[in-house]
Amino acid sequence: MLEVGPLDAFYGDSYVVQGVRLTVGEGEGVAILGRNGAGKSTTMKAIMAGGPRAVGPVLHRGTSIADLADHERARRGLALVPEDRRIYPHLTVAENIAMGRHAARPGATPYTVEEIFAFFPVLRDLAQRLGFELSGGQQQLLAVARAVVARPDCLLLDEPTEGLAPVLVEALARQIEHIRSADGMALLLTEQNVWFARKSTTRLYLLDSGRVVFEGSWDAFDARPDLQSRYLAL
Amino acid sequence: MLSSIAGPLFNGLFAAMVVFLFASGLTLVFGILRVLNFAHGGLFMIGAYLAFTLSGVTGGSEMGVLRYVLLCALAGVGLGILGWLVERSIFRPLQKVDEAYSLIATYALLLICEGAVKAIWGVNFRSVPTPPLLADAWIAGDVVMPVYAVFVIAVGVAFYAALEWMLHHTQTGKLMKSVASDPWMAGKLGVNVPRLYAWIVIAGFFLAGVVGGLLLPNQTLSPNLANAFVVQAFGALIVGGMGNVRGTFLAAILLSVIDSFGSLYFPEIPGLFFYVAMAIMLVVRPQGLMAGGSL
Ligand SMILES: Nc1ncnc2c1ncn2[C@@H]1O[C@H](COP(=O)(O)OP(=O)(O)OP(=O)(O)O)[C@@H](O)[C@H]1O
Ligand SMILES: [Mg+2]
Repeated sequence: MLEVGPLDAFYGDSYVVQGVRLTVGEGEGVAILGRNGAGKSTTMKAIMAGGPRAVGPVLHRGTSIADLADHERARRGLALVPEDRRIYPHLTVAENIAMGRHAARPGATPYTVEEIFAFFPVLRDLAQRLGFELSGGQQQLLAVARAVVARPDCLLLDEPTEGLAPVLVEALARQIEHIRSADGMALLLTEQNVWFARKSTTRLYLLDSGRVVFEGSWDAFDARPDLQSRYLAL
Repeated sequence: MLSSIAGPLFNGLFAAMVVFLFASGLTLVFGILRVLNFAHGGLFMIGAYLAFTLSGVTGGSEMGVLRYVLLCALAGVGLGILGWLVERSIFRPLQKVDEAYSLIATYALLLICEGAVKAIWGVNFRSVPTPPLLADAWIAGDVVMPVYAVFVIAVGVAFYAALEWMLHHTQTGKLMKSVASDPWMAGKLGVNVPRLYAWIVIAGFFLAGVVGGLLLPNQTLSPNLANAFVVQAFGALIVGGMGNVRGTFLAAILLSVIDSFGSLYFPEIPGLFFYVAMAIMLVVRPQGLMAGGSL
C-alpha cells in the first residue's frame, strides 16, 4: 500500500536519509528501528513531506503522493503523529481530537469523538482539559487518538512510547492494536522500545546513519543477536 | 475638571477605533499568514475611492445613513473580489517561495494601488460630507461629541467584540487560531490550509474596503490617503504583539489615548506622543501586550 524509495532526504547540505527503500502492506504493521540520530524521524517526515528536502518516489496505492498538498495526503488516508506531538494548547482534548476529523476520506465517515473515547478511556476523563494542561504522556495518547479519528488506512507513529511509563506503554500497545484491528489500519512505526515495536508489528527495518542495515521478520531479527548490540545498544 | 479628562479621552477613543478598524485586516492577515501586508493602506484608499464613486455625491448633495452603510459593504465586496484575484495570482504562488517575496510583493501592490488611484480618479482632492444624521454633535458639559465619532467608536467596539467572540467561541474561529499557531500540523490533520489562507486574504481586503468606506466622511481623498493610518496601525500591531486581535485593540486605545492627552501639552507636534508611547512600550514590553497566544 505504501511503497517508498529509494528515498534520499536532506537537511540543508546534510545528507540524512540515504537511499531508504521500504514498503508497508495493506493492514500491515512495520517498524523502523535505530538509535538516536539514525534518521527514523527524517524518514517519516520525508514520506509525509513534512520538513526535510526529500528526493525519490513515495507511492500510496500506486499513486505518487510526493507533490500533493498536506491536506490531500491526509485525506488519502495517511496520518502522521510527529515526534513532538504538536497538541493544540488552546483547544480541549475533545477539540483536539475533532481537528483530526478534517482528514476524513471522501465518502468515509470518521469516528465521533465519543467513539474515540471508547478506544482511549483515559481521554474521556480529560475531555474538557486544555491541551497545555496535559502531561507529556497524556499528550502522546491524545496525539495518537487525534490521528486515528478519521480512520486512516496507514498510521505513521514516530516513537509514541518515548517518555511513557512501562504500564502506559503496555496500555498504548493494546489500544493501538484494538483500533487497528477494528479498521484494518496499517502501521509504520519508529521505535527504540523493542518490546513495543515487536508487539505492534510483524517485521522491521533497522536503520543506521540513514541507511537500511537490516530488514526482515522479528524471527529473522532474533536469529541475529549481533544486530541488537551493534545498532540499538546505547 | 471633568471635561479636561473626558474631552481628550473621547478624542483618543475615536482615534483609537479609527486605528483599530484600519489595523484589523492587517492583524488578521499577519496573525494567520505571517505576511505583513504593506498594501493595506492602498486597499483602504481604493475602498474609500470606490465608496466615493458609488455614492454619486457631487457638488453640494448629501447621502443618507442607509446609503452610506450600503456603500461600505459594496466597497468591502469590491475589495474582497480584488483580494481573491490577488491571492490567486500573487500570494499563493509566492507562499511556496520565501516569506520575503510576499513582503516585497505587498509593497509592489501598494505602488500599484497608488498608481491606479491616480490613473482612475486623478490627483485632485475630493471629499464627501458626513451623512446628515451623523453630522450632528452631542454636547455633555463642555465636551463636544460628534455623532459621527460616537458612531465610529461604537462600530469599532462592536466589531472587536464580534471578532473576539468569533475567534474564541466558534468552530471557524478556533480553526483559524489553530492554523495560526501550527499550520504544519493543521495540514497533516487534513485541514485545507491554502484555502483558509485564501479566505483570510479575502477577509483582510474586505475589511480594508469596508473601513475605507466607513472613514470616507472623515477623510479628504487624495492619492496620499494610503499612508494616512499606516504608521499608527503598524504601531498598534507591533505593540499589541504582532497579529493578536486583542493586543491590537488594546494597543490602539493605549497609544491613541496617550497621544490625545499628550497633544494637549504639545499641540504643535501632533502625533508626537503616539511615537513616544510606542517607543516606551517597546522598551518595557518588547514582546508586545499579548505575546504568546497568537491571534
Ligand atoms: N531540523 C533538522 N535540521 C538539521 N538536521 C537535522 C534536523 N532534524 C534532524 N537532523 C539531523 O538528522 C539526523 C537524523 O535525525 P532524526 O531526527 O531523523 O533521527 P531519529 O532516528 O529520529 O533520532 P531520535 O531517536 O533521537 O528521534 C541527525 O543527525 C540529526 O542531527
Ligand atoms: Mg526521532
